[in-house]
Parts: sequence; C-alpha cells; structure tokens
Amino acid sequence: MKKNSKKVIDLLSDPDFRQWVANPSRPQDIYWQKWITSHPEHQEAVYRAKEVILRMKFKEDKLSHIEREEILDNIIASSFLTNRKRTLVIGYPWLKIAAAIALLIVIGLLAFFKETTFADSEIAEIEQQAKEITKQNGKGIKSQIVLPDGTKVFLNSESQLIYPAHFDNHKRQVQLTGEAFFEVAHDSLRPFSVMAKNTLTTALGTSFNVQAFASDNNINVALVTGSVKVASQNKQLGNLKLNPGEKIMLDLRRDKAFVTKFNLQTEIGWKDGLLVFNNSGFPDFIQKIERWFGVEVEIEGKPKTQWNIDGQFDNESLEEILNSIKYTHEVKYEINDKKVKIEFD
Amino acid sequence: MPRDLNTHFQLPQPGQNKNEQFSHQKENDLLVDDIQLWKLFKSGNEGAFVKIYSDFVNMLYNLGKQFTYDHDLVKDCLQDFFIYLRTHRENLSDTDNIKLYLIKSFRRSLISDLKKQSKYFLSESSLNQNFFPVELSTDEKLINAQFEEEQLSKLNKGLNKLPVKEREALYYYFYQNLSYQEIAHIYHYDHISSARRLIYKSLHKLKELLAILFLCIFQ
Repeated sequence: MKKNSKKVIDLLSDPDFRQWVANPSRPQDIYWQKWITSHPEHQEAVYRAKEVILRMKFKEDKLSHIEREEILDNIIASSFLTNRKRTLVIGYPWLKIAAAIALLIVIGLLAFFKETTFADSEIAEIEQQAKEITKQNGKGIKSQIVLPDGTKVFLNSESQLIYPAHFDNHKRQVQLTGEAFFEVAHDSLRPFSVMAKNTLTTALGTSFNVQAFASDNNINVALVTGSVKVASQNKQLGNLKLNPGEKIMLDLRRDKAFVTKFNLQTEIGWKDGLLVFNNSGFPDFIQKIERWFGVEVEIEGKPKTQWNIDGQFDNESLEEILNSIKYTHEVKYEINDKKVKIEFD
Repeated sequence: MPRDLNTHFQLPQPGQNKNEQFSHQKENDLLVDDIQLWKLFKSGNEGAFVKIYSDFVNMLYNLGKQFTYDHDLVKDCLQDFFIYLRTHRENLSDTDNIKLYLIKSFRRSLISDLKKQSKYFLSESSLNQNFFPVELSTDEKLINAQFEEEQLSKLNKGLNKLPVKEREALYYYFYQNLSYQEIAHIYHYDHISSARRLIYKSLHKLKELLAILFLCIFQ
C-alpha cells in the first residue's frame, strides 16, 4: 500500500502523465500502455493517479459572451483617446514642428494686427471658466439645478454646491457640503466628480447620492445606476468602486468604511418630497424635521418610551407629521412660524 | 514552452473568429507564434490585441475567480489590466509565452488590488484562506457512495488546509497545465526543481488521505 501511494504521487507529479490524462493522444496512449505492460506492479497506481487528476476540481467560472464583449468595448473606448494622442506626438514628429510654426505665425499675426481684441476675449474666456457659481439652500429649502453639461442636481436643504460656470475639457468637478442627488449627463471623456469632505466620488454617466453634512462625522455615497469610484484623501481609506444598489459609509472619525445595500426611498426619497424615517430614534427624528422644514425645535421633558419611528411622509406638512406622531408617542406640540415646541407629559 | 500553446496559434478558426471585424489585416497575418503576435501587439496592431484578448480573457477571469468570489471585482481588474497593457504597449518587455506573461502580470495586479481592498474593506471574499478552493468530486456510479463521500469530505478538508501557495501551484499544474518551468517563473524561483518540489510536497501531504480514499474506490 505504502509503496503504491508513493508511485501514485510520482505519477501525479510527472508532467507527461498529467498531459496524457488531461488530453490523451494516440502516441501517448501507446507509450503508457507499453509502460504498464512492462511495469505490471504499477498498473493500479496508474488507475489511481488517473482518478485523482480527473476528479480534481477547481472553480470553473467563465465570463459570458456578452460580458466578454462588454469588457472589450470598455477597453477600446477608454484607450481610444490616449492612443490617438500618442500617434499624433510620436508617430508624426513633423506635425509637432508644423504646429509650432503655425502657432508662431498666429502669434506674429496677432501682434501685428490687433492684439488687444483677441487677447481680451481670450482672457474673458479664461475668466469665465474660472468663475464659480455657488448655490446654497437654507433649512427647509430644496432645489433643482442643471449644470452647464446638462447634469441634473437635486440639492437638499442646508446644503451648498459650488461649480464652475464652464467645465473644462478634461473633467467636471463640483464641490458639495450637505446632501445632493446627481443624475450625471453621459460624457465618457470627461469624468464627473464630486468633492465632499476630502472624498472624491467619480462617475461617467450615472446617478448617485452624496450626503456630507458639515455637522456629521460620516459621508454617505449611494449609487443608483452606473458605476462610481469613491476615493478619500485620507490614505487609510483608499479607493473603492461601488455597484448599483450599494452604499458606502465613510466614518471619518474612526477612518473606517462600510459597504451596504440601501433602500432607494430611505436614501433618495428626499428629492421627490418623501420624508422617510427608518427606525429613527428621537434625536434623529428631530434633526430630520429641523433640516426638512427649516424649523427650530424646542423640547420640554424627555421621551418616556424608546422612539423607533418607521414611516414615509409624502409631501406632508409638519403639522400632519406631528399629528400622526402625537397619538403613538404621547406628545404635545405647538408650531409658531419657524419655532416648534415639543412637550412630553 | 508547452506544445499546446504553439498549436493554439496555428489553428485558424474560420467562422467563429471575431478578429475580422476589428482587424484590417488578412486573417493569415495573425497566424503567428507568440513572439511575433506579441511584437505585433506592441507595435500597435489592434487585430493582435483582440486576438490576445479573446484567447486569454476567460483564462485570466478564471484565475481571478480563484482568488475571490467577487465577480465584479475580477471584471474590473481585468478591464483595468488590459487598458494598462494597451496604454503601455510600447514599453512592455518581449515574451515567447503570452499565456505565462499574462498570468504573471495579471496575478500581480490582482493581488495588489485585493490587498488594497481587504485592508480596509473586510469582506469574506478577500480572505486568503479561501483562495484557490479545490476538491475531488464524487463519482455517483460507485456502490458504497456514502462511505466514499465521508472519505472525500475528509480529503477535501485536507486539500483546502494546504497552504494557499501549494493550492495555487496545484491549480497551475493540474488546471492550467503549466510546466514546472513556467510555475518556477511565476514564483520567481531560480531553479525549476523548486517548482517540482512544491507540487510533490503538497501531494505528499495528502498521501494518507489519498490512501484511505483509494481503499473505498477500488474495493
């Protein structure tokens, strides 16, 4: 028995034997048949070794035809630009020289004729590109913005978005404090990115939500369609790609990141006027209505029972919401314009 | 270089060859050996690129899936890997064994991507105990199937207790049919015999388990 297993292992580690079992060919058949006849004592070892090779299974995963094509499309699309540039510079050195000469002539002509008008309009263009637009929502105000590239932004209350009046040719970058939902206009040559709390979320054509309120220690990015890359300037947190339906929460205080699935309405319902409470405790509830309705809440007493509010309010008023809470949680409330008083008995 | 690689490139596959739609060259131009094909690719020939992609994308995807269960991660890595090859094509070193070249460099880039991920995003898919899962499958024709199954599950546990590197080597050796020389190259071994020893060592560890299994298979 012992001698036999040694022979089995010898055979298994013999590349010729492995080749023969995996892809038998006529000449190999002849060779191994002759080998067995001359070593009858090893006949059993041959069968055993063969059995092991045929039964050894690793994962067999393969890409589907569609996936193979899709990846190839992406590869060709993404390297198109770089390749063209390369051939232009390396393949045709004379073009570079020609371009330089042309440029000199243009500059010469400009100087000769009317340098001022041209220069002025050029400066104006650069100025316009550098010009930034700031949109800011106070408490209780939500707005919709269409960016110069056609990207649609839903800006939540207590949030601010800064973007250039003109995006440049290579990238589209905006700055966010607070929360916004982005429906990015597709432009594969100019990635769209959102800078929020030292975290850069980059997308091509995609819709996603970024929540980065100044008062929170977290930043949340939830991806609805397409794909985004989230990169934190904090090196410890690194880089991550999200898949649709996934949400990443970066905990900036503890330098940790978590990826979870998310509920579409809880996460992005706000842009359609849907106020969602998902197992909200009391402090969370108060913070949400303050932000949503732009009110200040004054609290008297303490909640007696644990608050776990679940529910959606579709474009309902503060009064309607507080009314529905009143019965389940034994509270009284008073609304005086932008001040709200909540009392516990 | 293994024989099957050579013949691989000399067999035209009319009908199912997708090179035609991308390549402006005659199909015959692509029936070349690894050295020439790689040189063509490096010089900017897109037909050569598509041929390399179509021939090896599934092999590399399968390799990637041995490291992780994360399908999308492997797809993304593959895409980035091929984009990298294309954008740096002029500076790539020459090779006479494209399959080996791709395995070696894709393995490196995948491991570095996995490291980045698993450091901060602990998910079960990136724990390396799970790399290269392997098992011996059952044969339902056998009479004492139940006894066999018990022995098999013991053996499979033993197989998956092997160090990852040994399981990985078994994968290259049995699944990808790589030679000892090629395996030594992947692991940067100076001597081919080191690769042979690695395979032999891992098989030897399974000796007793194999012996019990044979008892029930061949009774």
